[in-house]
Amino acid sequence: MQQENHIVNQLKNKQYDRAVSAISELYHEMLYWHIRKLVKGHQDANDVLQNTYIRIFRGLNSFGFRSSVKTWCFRIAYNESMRLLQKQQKLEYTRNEGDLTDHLNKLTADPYFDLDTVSYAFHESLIKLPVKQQRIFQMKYFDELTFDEIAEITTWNKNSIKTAFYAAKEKIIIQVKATV
Amino acid sequence: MNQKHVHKEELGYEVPEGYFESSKKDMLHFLNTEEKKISVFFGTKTMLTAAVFGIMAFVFLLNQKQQLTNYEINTFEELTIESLELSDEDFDDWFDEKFVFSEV
Repeated sequence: MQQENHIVNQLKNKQYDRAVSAISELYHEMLYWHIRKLVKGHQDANDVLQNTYIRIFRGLNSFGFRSSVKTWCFRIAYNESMRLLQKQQKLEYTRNEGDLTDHLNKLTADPYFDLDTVSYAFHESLIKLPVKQQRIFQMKYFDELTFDEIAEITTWNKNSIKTAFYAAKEKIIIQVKATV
Repeated sequence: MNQKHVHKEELGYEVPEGYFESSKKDMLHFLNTEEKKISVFFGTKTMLTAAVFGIMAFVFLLNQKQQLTNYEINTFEELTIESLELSDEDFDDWFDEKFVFSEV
């Protein structure tokens, strides 16, 4: 929180170079993982991260201080990821809940994906979720974002996010228990 | 909780060795380069804009001058044609009215 305030002060003083360095120091890894879970492949995640940095840098002078810097950066990363997915028409692909084999083929084609270390049941149950539930669950569980932050990032309704998260959690628990 | 560990253990996502340190440096370096490009671009853009405005002002002034000259020529031609319809007796009065007094 102190570091976030420090960035806000830098922005108020128009020290954009310093602000972007501080953002990078604080959120670089978090932003990467947030993007990686949305676009799946490492190379795509790296490209999206670079575009995210460009947008953050260009947008710093118009930052409105209405949300936290963290939420703002995550929202940019989310939008950039969506833009890439739309470009690659992956949205249609990820909506195809039943096609687990295709999905895993795509993942295993990435040299930076190691299926052996994964809890297969967990992965399978995650992939089988509807895309909205999948994203919400990942943001809450892995990125440790609050429901308010997820609502700001995705512009979805906070209550529907809560409902989707608990529904996803329930489905994953049932699925994992069934396979154990 | 170590994010790298969690993502590897639970989702199987890996990253190249030393990725985060190197990518952080690369991104910031890339932004510095982009910033320089933008400032050069805007510097060039300002000069181009000034040049375009200069040319436009020159063309406008040239056009204004041409229009004034055309007006004078047209007026003179009209008067010359008008003078052809006059009789010799009326010409002196007409000439005084149109040329001598109009100048005054």
